[in-house]
Amino acid sequence: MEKTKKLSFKSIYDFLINYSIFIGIVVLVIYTWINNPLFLKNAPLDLLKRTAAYVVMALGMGCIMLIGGVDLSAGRIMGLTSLIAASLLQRLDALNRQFPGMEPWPIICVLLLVIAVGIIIGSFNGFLTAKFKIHPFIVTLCTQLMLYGVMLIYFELGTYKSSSIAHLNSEYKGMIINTVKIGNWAIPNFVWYSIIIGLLVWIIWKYTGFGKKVRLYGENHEAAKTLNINPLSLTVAVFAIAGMLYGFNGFVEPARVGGSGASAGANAELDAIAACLIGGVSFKGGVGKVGGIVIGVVLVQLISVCLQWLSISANIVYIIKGGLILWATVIDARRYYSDSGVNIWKW
Amino acid sequence: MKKLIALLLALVMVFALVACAADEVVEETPEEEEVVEEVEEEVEEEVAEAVDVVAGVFWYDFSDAFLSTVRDALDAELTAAGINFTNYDAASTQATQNDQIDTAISQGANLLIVNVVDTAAVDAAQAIVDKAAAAEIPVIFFNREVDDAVLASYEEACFVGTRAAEAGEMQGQMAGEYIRDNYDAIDLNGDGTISYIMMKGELGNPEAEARTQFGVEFCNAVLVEAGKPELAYYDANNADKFQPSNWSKTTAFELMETALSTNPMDGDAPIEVVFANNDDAALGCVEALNNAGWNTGEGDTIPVFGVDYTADAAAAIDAGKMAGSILQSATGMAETVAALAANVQAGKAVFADAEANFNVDEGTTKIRVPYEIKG
Repeated sequence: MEKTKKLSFKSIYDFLINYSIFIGIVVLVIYTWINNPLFLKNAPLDLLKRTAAYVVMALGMGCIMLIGGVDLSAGRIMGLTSLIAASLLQRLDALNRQFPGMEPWPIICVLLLVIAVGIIIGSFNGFLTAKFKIHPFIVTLCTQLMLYGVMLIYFELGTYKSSSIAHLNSEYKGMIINTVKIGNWAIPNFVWYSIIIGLLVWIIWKYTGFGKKVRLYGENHEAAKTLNINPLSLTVAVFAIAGMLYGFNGFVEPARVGGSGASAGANAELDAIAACLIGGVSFKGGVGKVGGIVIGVVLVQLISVCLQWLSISANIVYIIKGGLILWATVIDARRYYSDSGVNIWKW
Repeated sequence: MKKLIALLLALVMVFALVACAADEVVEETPEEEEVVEEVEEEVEEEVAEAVDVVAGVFWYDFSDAFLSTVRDALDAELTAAGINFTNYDAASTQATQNDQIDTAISQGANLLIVNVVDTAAVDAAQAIVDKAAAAEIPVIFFNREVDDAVLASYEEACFVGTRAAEAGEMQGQMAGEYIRDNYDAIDLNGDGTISYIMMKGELGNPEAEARTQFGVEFCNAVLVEAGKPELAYYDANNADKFQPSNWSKTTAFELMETALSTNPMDGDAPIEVVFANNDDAALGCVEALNNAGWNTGEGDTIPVFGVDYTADAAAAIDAGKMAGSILQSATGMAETVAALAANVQAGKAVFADAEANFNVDEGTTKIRVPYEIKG
């Protein structure tokens, strides 16, 4: 009798811990809503746009974390590709053109170029990681620095340096930020792109042999070898896919915020890592779901949005974010070190 | 076929970029150094008593938009004056800057030109002055403010910058007059008061603090004088009365997007005027307003005020997307720093003749470069 009582208390306790992030978020949303009834009407669209803007990088980061890695160069790859995209897609009459007199490139070529840049940098990271068995933390820490240098040099190639690379060609901007009206919501195009990318990544992770290999390799590098998985080509491929996603992110970002500058993408990787950890992607590799990452991005953005709705100083955002990531990691660790943790992410 | 060409082009571009990565980031490019040396030789022939100046120019962050213009101007000025110099990027880290200064001094630099990283604590600047004093070389601080007491501790230390309060005061004055003259049009909801949003730069930065405070205070002064009520923050519960946009266009854009969802432009309590500590943040707000169908250059517009008068802001003002900005003269700052460096080159004290030629703060070695209103 006593034993079952104890068990049920323990199971409630475990449930509360495993789902504590959700419970906290629901409480936060309800509190914000009570505070300002407009919240449920106006915040979801804002949140949707923010999530769409950040989820692509988080998915790239998720790919790398699936094989037990981490990518500190994500923000700078996005930054560099956004600089390239912005510089090649300025209006002809823009007064501070990066390359004066150059004919504007076809948009599709720029998209292919920035994706190629992302793939090449990603492959470089992946190659060094796998070939010399260096932890990707070190590799990407170094490439991140190098990329910042490249960004500064690229930015300085411009004739007019004091400002961001703005005055983008309206066809390109329209492609990203023109809206489709659904009910009362004017949803910008980049939200659809993010949804498509999310679906593609979901299919790759869940239904392809490649996705299964990645997961197996992430769970156990040694065991994966016996299953005829080539660590080098797999790692390079994963980093290349991530780079491709950062490149796409870099293509979208200038149009979304109206320009790009030398500081573009600084620290963006931290939000991506945070979203992955909160969304249940394990730092140990092998575990992670697209749905979890999307929720992770939503939660990270929700904190900023709710605090602004609640008129709370934004300085607190950092404390809450840090605390939340730590808590998410603790929940993750419980899965490994005790039997009380469960993987709550099903898709 | 088209795709193939695009891909080839892409690869060529990429390899060019990767090749760039191998170059030194911080050092001057060799061509520029050659020019410097050539000019220097000429100068040495003409002026016998000239000191051979080797200057280290320490920048707080290469990615800062305004400072990039100053850097261009200063590079040109120093090159023209025949001064040998090297630019260093501290990437927003004071410790990095201190190391760079130590290295430069050990390499024989005899003039430090410093854009100090940490403006919140006096210790950072004091440590740099102590290094300069120990090496007996002059130090010129610029742009980012240094405490009077720090400068007073060493006779060869001085500062070139703007008066922190001035940009905010001028922005407030300009905004006040603009709002006073168009009061009813700006008061969108007709409640008799104007609600504003403030995009503040970096917390703890004296320029940001002053612009945030004086922008609103001076605007209020103009409004009260005209018999109008003071401005009200758009979010009455916000005790800070600012949003921390941290000089960033992206951050300002996102803060403004959320602000426009808490206070929609078509609601009862729209945001009626935007103050931003810098133009990048102001332009981020304009982007967010554009998404809501406002400030597109035609039709519905609320006044947006920035500081810096960057080329982009100038274009936005011309197009009617922004109401005005305050010019911080990059060339003025560079010319002043170069003039002080020329003093050192001529073998004089670094601050020689400064009172006669520049706007100097009483009893200090601080030169103030004036701002201008652009609206």
